[in-house]
Amino acid sequence: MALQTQVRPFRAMGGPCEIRVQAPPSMVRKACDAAIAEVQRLEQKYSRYREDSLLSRINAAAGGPRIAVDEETAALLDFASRAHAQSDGLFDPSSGILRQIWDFKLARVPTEQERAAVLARIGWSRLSWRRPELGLPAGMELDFGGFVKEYAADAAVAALRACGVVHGLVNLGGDISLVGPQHDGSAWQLGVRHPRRPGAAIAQLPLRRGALSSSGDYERYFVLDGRRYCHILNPRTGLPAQGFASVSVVAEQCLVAGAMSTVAMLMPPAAALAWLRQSGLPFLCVDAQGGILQGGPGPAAAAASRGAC
Amino acid sequence: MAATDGRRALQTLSSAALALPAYAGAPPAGTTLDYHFFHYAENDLPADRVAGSQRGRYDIDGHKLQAETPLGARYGLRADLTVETMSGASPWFVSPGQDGRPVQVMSGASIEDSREDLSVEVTRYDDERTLGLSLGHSQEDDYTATYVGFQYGFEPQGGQLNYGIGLSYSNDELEPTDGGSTQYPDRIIRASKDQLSLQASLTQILSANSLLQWGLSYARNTGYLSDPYKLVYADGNTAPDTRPDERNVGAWYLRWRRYFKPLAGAWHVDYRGTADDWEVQTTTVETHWVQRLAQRWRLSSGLRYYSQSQADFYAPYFEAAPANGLMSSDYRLSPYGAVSAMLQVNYSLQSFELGLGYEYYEADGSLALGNVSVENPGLLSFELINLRVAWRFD
Amino acid sequence: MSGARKFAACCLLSSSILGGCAIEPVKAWERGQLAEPEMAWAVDPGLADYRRHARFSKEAAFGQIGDLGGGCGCN
Repeated sequence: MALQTQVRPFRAMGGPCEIRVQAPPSMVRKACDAAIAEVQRLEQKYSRYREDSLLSRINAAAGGPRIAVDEETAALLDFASRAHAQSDGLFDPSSGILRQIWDFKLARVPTEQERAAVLARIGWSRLSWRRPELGLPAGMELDFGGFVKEYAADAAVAALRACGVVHGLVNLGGDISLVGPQHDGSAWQLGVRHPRRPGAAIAQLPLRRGALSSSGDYERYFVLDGRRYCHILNPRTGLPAQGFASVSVVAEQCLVAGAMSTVAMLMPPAAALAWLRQSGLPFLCVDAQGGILQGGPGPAAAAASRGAC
Repeated sequence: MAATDGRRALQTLSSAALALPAYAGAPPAGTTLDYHFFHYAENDLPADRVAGSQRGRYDIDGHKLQAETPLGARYGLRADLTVETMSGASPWFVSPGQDGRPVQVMSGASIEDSREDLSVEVTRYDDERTLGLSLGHSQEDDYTATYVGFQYGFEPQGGQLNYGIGLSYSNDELEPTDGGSTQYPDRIIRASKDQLSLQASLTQILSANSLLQWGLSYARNTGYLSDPYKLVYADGNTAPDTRPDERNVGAWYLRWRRYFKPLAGAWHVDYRGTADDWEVQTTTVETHWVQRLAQRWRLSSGLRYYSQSQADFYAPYFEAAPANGLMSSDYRLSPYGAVSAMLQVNYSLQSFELGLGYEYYEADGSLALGNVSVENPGLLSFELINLRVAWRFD
Repeated sequence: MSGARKFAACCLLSSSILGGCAIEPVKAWERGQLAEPEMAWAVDPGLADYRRHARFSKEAAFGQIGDLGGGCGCN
């Protein structure tokens, strides 16, 4: 009996999301409700905008006493610590405050003094993380936005599984985590967004299990004097990524795929390629000219189109 | 910029990710090392229960090191090394005593022995299944045991029930000191025994904060099951402790855990009953309250009650040797009840954990569920102190 | 009641309780409390193993998870 793909769109994490599931209709509604509830739970828990969120409480205590965090937050902080160490500082949840000096609507490049002032308040190594207590120095703010969406995709998949779903995926604005292959055993065809043509795909990646996460310079950016300034900011220099136009990575967990793709975006292209090849993960990078570079085991992504940016 | 290895990056991130709740059902994330020191001291027997001047009993100092580490993404390895040194005297036989009240005669010399026990377990973790294989060896001057075990667990995702089964086999070789010697001509020189056991368990997730586990087990012992160092007083003489060469034991148990979020504590209740073809029936009830205090501290207090009935070939002493030749006056086959109180304190500091604990145990005929007319004079009371240091490496 | 009959009665009781239970299922993301360290079957496994060994050698009962380990010549 062929199972129809049920699609459940919703909004979360600041953008359009969807759940695709092939399951008996009696299961679909409950499973999707559960998955969405899980995404919303994480969104609220680590929201910068809600005063009562855990993240806000942590940031409000900066410069003050340490806060004891729960197991989930502790594990995320451990993950962030390791990612910070493994990326030589490029992955840094304390760098969110750089958004205060980069205004993508006004298309304004901050001065060196402005950058220096904010950089003085950034640096994961400056905070105190001794499980289960976290202490931030005065002026520091944590922003989980760089990875909570990827973790939420995985958590939503866990919720779908818990409801008995075996064939499906969760797509949170481009961060995709799979429950399992399609009903007939075939892979899901996942589109990798074209960095220069909104709405178009630059490649199709077939995937049966695992997750796909992409980082790109097209989500928020401005172009000034022929140069593109995007929202992926280097925590060490305060300047935007100047390498690839987008990096997509496939890993078992969306959280890991997301961390790898974000870090690769901040590396010079040659170093990023070497690093991604060493990891052995399947990846797809698009350079500023629209050229596609792929690597890793698995079927090659079919290029949807090539063209100049 | 420093060239960090992409492969190491992936491994480190993946293992960190696996510690998160969304990815539960995975092998251990990091390596842990757990060291315990135990001091076990049995209290001297009261003067009115002992014949002779030897009243002191056993003391054991033990060191235990447990290590657990992941092997790749799917396997976990656990190793357990225990080293103990024992010294002291142990019960030898029970004599009728002056006024018909039996008294315990202790072994004259003070024994000094050591035991080393090493076991290794490899577990494979699949999405819903775990498979474990364990192997172990225990060595003492007069006793060697080799054992193998197999465990299988099934945790259907999203289900409310988890299942487990286990099978184990142990082969023990005894070579008692002074066996067949001129001093102890009736003591066996060498013997062996086998144990085969089966277990099954079912775990129910009763609610968001409580769990219940049901278990059944069956064990069969064959071979030399007597105690080569013990004698029995029968018909005015002492004869070797002689037990059947087979024993079948069935056990059933329930374990309940309930979490109280506002108190940051959990209540544990464990119940176990056993019955066997030696006519020994036992009941055990144990309860603990485990409390988290101020994020770094954990306090655990517990009480245990135990009761057993006697084996059908047991008596403190025999007027005449039984027709089938089976007899024992070992306190461990006598009817009695025992109560113990336990206290444990734990302190967490970054990747370390320190622990300190104390237990007091006392056995007495009047504590038994059934009626005990004559309690064995060799009943035990002891104190157990433990010290713990645990490290977590990532 | 003899030991064997107690054993059989417990089996019957367990299966009837389980069969008759209608427990509200607990979702995966609600299981956080069950994973708290205080909820472990053995909060300190090394201590639990040692206690189990001590009791096994000093009492007549055996038959519980973990009693698979080696015997000893303990007196």
